[in-house]
Amino acid sequence: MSTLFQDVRYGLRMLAKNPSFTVVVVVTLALGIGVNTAMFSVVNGVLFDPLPFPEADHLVAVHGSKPNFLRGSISYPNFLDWQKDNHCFSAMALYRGTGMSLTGLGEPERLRAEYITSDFFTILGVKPVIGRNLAQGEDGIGAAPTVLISEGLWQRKFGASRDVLGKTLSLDGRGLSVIGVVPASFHLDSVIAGAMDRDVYVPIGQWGNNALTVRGAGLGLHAIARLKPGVTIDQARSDMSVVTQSLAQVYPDNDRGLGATIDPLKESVTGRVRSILLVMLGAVGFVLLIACVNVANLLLARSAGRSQEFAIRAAMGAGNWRVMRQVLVETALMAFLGGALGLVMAAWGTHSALAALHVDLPRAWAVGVDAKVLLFTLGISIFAAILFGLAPALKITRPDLVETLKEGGRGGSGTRHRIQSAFVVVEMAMAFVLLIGAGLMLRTMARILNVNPGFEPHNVTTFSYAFPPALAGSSAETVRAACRQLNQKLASLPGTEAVSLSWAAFPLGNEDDENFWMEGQPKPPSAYEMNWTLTYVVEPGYLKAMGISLKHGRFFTEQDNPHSPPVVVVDEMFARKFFPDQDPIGKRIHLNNTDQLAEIVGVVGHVSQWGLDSDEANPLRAQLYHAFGQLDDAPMKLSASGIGVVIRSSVAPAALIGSIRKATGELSSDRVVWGFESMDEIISDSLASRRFSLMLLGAFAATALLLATLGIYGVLSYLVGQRTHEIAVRMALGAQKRDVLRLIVGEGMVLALAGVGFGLVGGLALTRFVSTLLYNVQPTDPLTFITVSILLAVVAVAACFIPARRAAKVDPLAGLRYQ
Amino acid sequence: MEPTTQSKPPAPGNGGTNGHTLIHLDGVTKVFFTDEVETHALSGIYLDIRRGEYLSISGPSGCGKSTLLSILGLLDSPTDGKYTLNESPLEALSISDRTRIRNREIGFIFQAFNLIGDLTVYENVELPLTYRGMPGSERRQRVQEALERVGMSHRVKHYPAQLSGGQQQRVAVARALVGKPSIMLADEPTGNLDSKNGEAVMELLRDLHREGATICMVTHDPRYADFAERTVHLFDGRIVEETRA
Ligand SMILES: Nc1ncnc2c1ncn2[C@@H]1O[C@H](COP(=O)(O)OP(=O)(O)OP(=O)(O)O)[C@@H](O)[C@H]1O
Ligand SMILES: [Mg+2]
Repeated sequence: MSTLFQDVRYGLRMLAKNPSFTVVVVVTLALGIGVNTAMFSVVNGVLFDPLPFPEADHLVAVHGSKPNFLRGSISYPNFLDWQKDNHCFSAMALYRGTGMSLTGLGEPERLRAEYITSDFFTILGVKPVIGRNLAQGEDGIGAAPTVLISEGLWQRKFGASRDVLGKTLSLDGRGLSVIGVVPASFHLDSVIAGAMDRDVYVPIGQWGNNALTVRGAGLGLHAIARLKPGVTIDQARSDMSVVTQSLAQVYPDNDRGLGATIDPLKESVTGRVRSILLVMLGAVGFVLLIACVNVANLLLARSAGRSQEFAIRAAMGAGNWRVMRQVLVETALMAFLGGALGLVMAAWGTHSALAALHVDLPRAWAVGVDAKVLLFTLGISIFAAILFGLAPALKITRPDLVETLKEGGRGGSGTRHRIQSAFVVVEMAMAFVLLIGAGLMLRTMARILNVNPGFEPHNVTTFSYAFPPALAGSSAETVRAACRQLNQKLASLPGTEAVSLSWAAFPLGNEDDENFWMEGQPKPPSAYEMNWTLTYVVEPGYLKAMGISLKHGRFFTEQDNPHSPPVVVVDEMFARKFFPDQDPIGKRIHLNNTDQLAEIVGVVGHVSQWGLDSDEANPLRAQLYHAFGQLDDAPMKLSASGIGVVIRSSVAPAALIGSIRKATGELSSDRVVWGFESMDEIISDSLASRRFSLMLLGAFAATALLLATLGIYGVLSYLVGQRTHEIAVRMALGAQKRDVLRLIVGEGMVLALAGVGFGLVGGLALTRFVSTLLYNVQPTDPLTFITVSILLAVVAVAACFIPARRAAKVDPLAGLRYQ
Repeated sequence: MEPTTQSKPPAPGNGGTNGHTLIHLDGVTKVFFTDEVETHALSGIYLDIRRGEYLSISGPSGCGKSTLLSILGLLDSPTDGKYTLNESPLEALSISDRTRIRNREIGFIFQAFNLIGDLTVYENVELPLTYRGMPGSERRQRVQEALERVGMSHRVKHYPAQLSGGQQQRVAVARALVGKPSIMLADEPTGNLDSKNGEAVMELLRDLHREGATICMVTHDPRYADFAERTVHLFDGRIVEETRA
């Protein structure tokens, strides 16, 4: 033990004696361990940690499954039957996000709201801070109006006073009585992928949407449930299929072909980012390997310089093991220092990096350093120490005596550098693979940005608008008039070129769909056997506001009103799918929701609904437009509580926001405007997770390139130092400076090219793991492979050039004298 | 050893170059400045070396033999004085020109052989020709000839570490003569060899001289000095005596 202590003391002294060497090694290790710890803490928080609910593995997400659409919504009547008929869940709850205007408590403001059924919080085991959860029956239509509010809203609006219970909150003009406060520790994105935390939770019965009672309505309702103890997810699936099949018998019109999709809640919440995060974890693993190889090479170089020290130690009777232990102790000390520094970097850097990258990472709040992360860091530090310490330690215990002696006589010198050269090749190959990954992401991004979204995003402003709550109770005519007034007010703003209100689906945003069948055909027995299309409700100005092209026929006009015959406009995709080889104009279709027969009057260009990169993959692409002016009374009244607006302007969207606020304020001080976003921003946001993977992989690849460059530079510098004598001999024999430059750079290039060669093989083998993250780019994209090869070669030449220059400056005489 | 006669600057006319003179040193001095100490390694060397001559330089340690050889070999330049090789003055040449002349006109044989460990025997001998940009086929022939000349043609694929000292020095001699230089400079070529191998190398040099090579060799060993036609004795940076075999 005391000898070990001696070793440690001596090791520390050695580290202190070569501060620059120690700093380089420790910082390199800290970089490698730091990014790994950071990435692991993200993966750990997001993917590995269980959801923060009691017995979270019993929680599942439940969706309605239709042919072609595995995770669709569940209608309220079906949900009630599922809840009643199943034997596998101890409870089920429905949810749906929405927005509501809060009035009567200072400035009117828009709140994030979630409609829920009674068991929502009990399933999750979330207990209110004060008050209570919803009781059974309180969620039904016609039940007393109640609401749960978030701890944040409670503090902001009520100063966290217990008096809040029983108080009435005016939401969309209706009074709801506060029954409980949801703790701030509850995050909705642990239940719904990517969901923002809500301000209020409202029983679904308070929605006031007549379609709620329609069995065939798709209102975007989804469910969570808790498995009964001992019930497996497969048992739940078969139980639910019995339930849905018997419902299909009873309600063939609506429920034929309808099933239930059940996923573990964890998977449903994090599935979206799973592959990205795992690819990133793999990528940082490479960075660590490169860092270790670099350090190993530095140590090898140094051990060569210390061979005399070791020889003396051996001569004084130190056994192999004793000498090796000394080296291992120093190695462990460096790994420990590197790990500690890496941990500090990760702990401080991760959150700021996530914030700087503007990532909408689910459960990002769960990212942090916990015992598992500490264990991981310790683990990789030890792993790193073994990895970078092994080669030098072995080198010392197996000194090649004959070779060493021959070297004294200027004999062979090649073998010693072979390990180092091999290491450089490995580094280069790994950097190559990471660069390929980043390059493929970059190409993907370029491909996506080149996708024509079908609209002209520049100078288009979108926002949401809620009329004063008082309007909610008025007649459809009054709402219609208010909408017209809003449109005119906005159209009169300076710089405005076109305005349209928008309802239902919106490109890269809301989704809404409906079913129809062709005129002259019998009505299909169930909605799921009808044709299926995305549905947009817009005003005449929409085409110009969005910059969508008109292909045939006409778009809507002011003359399309509730009193004129119902008309619709379809997109090219719709026309091609449902009217192949025919002119759709003049054809009529039966709309299932409204039971109307509508005439197709125009065909417009297709727009990206699902995302620039994912539109083609979606089965639902046909697009159908309704005239806002022809909207039925019921949905028209609903639109008062929140409607979308699109404006094309000659000025930048940011410059328009102020005047929009002012102008709408003149219409009514009780209105709420929120969610200003330009179409350019919407596109950019839709690519956020792509950008996240691109930037992250890019950063890792850059780190890898830097380390590999340092590696090749370090090894060549070392070799040049070792070979001063040889270079002097060559110069004495007539080698010019350029010959020496060529010699050293050439040797670097051999290493770099070998690295590129192995990298090519590795890249071809590994890029298929990122293929799910690519778009219109092959994992073997030749352009990427060629560019990265050239980039790496150029960087390697640059790295070789400095030691090569130094070699060319060798004074042959001095080099020869130094024997 | 006491110097018996003081060497004098040769009389004008005697020191001028003529067709037979390969090298002409005229008052060459070399001063090293280190740590505020001036070392006068050479103080006024007047020396002619004729084509085909076998000259040996001897003297006590530190008298300037290696320094003189470095200047002759264009590895170093004199602090003062004139150096004329093949009737052309070398003072104003660029480093690159000096390198080129060194490559073509000078062949080196070192005490420590100075073969390059990573290169085979063949490649070591080929090196001076490579730097001359000679075409491959011609290089092959020359290297073959040179290795045959020193009796090492059966070892072309070996690495220096696989050869004995004597063999290594013979390869080094092959490397010195492969470029057909005007002069071969040897600094203690037998210093790292046992007497048997040393003698073999000396005999090789004598044979080369008989075939017409110009050789200038530094040696401590009086036996080997006798191989040369002429020996100059150096003391304290000056030529103090000349003896002829
Ligand atoms: N680069 C240098 N810097 C300073 N002094 C030098 C340098 N090279 C040689 N000298 C000095 O010049 C003098 C002559 O050295 P040189 O190497 O020519 O001696 P030498 O005759 O070859 O000796 P030896 O027989 O031991 O090889 C010595 O005093 C030496 O210390
Ligand atoms: Mg000497």
